[in-house]
Amino acid sequence: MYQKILIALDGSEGSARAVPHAIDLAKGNGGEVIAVHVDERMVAKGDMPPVHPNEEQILQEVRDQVNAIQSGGVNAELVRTTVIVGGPGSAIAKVAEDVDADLIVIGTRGHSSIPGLILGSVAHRLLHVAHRPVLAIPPSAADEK
Amino acid sequence: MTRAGDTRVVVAYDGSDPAKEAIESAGRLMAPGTKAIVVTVWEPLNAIPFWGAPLGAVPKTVFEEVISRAKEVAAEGALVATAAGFEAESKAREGSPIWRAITREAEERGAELIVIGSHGRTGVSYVLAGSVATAVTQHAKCSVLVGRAGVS
Repeated sequence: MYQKILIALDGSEGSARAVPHAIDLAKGNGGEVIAVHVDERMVAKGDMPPVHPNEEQILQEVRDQVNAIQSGGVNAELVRTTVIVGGPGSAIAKVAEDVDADLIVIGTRGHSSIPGLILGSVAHRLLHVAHRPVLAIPPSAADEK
Repeated sequence: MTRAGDTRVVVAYDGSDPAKEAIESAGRLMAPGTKAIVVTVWEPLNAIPFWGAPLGAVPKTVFEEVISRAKEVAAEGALVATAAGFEAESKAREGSPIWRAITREAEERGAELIVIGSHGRTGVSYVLAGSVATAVTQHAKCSVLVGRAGVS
């Protein structure tokens, strides 16, 4: 059974849609949720420091999402990780290995994709690098429930 | 969410190991006895871009062989699904591109989950996460479980 559900959160609506699925799965199996948030920094050249746009705001949204999982009656902890090279997909896959997650849940649209056009780049990358089963939640799944 | 008698899961099955693993993963995800349809999709010969010969030139037995093999693969997938706890049926379906046949099957049945192996038997795309799994994830209106995705 899936005891340890890893959910990738970036505060976006796309990742919010994955939250009820993670809660259901963890509840159904008496498991726990590990929320992973990747602080993606873009390397700047010269004297500029690495930038991470809106990180404070995004992190607050992620904390709210984690609180929502806890309010759903499921143990949840937040793992934060920073990535400079390699992208969030690889970082999520690495955390999944580190915490020995049974399943990764991810919304297929996050902050960084063009709606309706491409699979979120993070989810796409994750499909390539994760060594765990990945449950991909589409943008509209929660609405259709 | 639960509607008795409805097929809730569409399994895309091509006989590959990742497809088997995906079914096993899905079995841990869904309640025992969940109804699933195991679909094996084959592409028509004229979907092959460099196919030049008229289809009439192909012996009928080739088509019969492909259909019969697809049915066998699907039936094998249904056995794997049954062992994983599903109440499974099997189906062979022609379609191109393959991902569209899979997402259509899910839409037609109002399924809530598609189960697919990370990389299957589609030649070059063996190397990375399969183009079929990626495209299904991209286009599906329901959730998609991609069995242990990474290639070690």
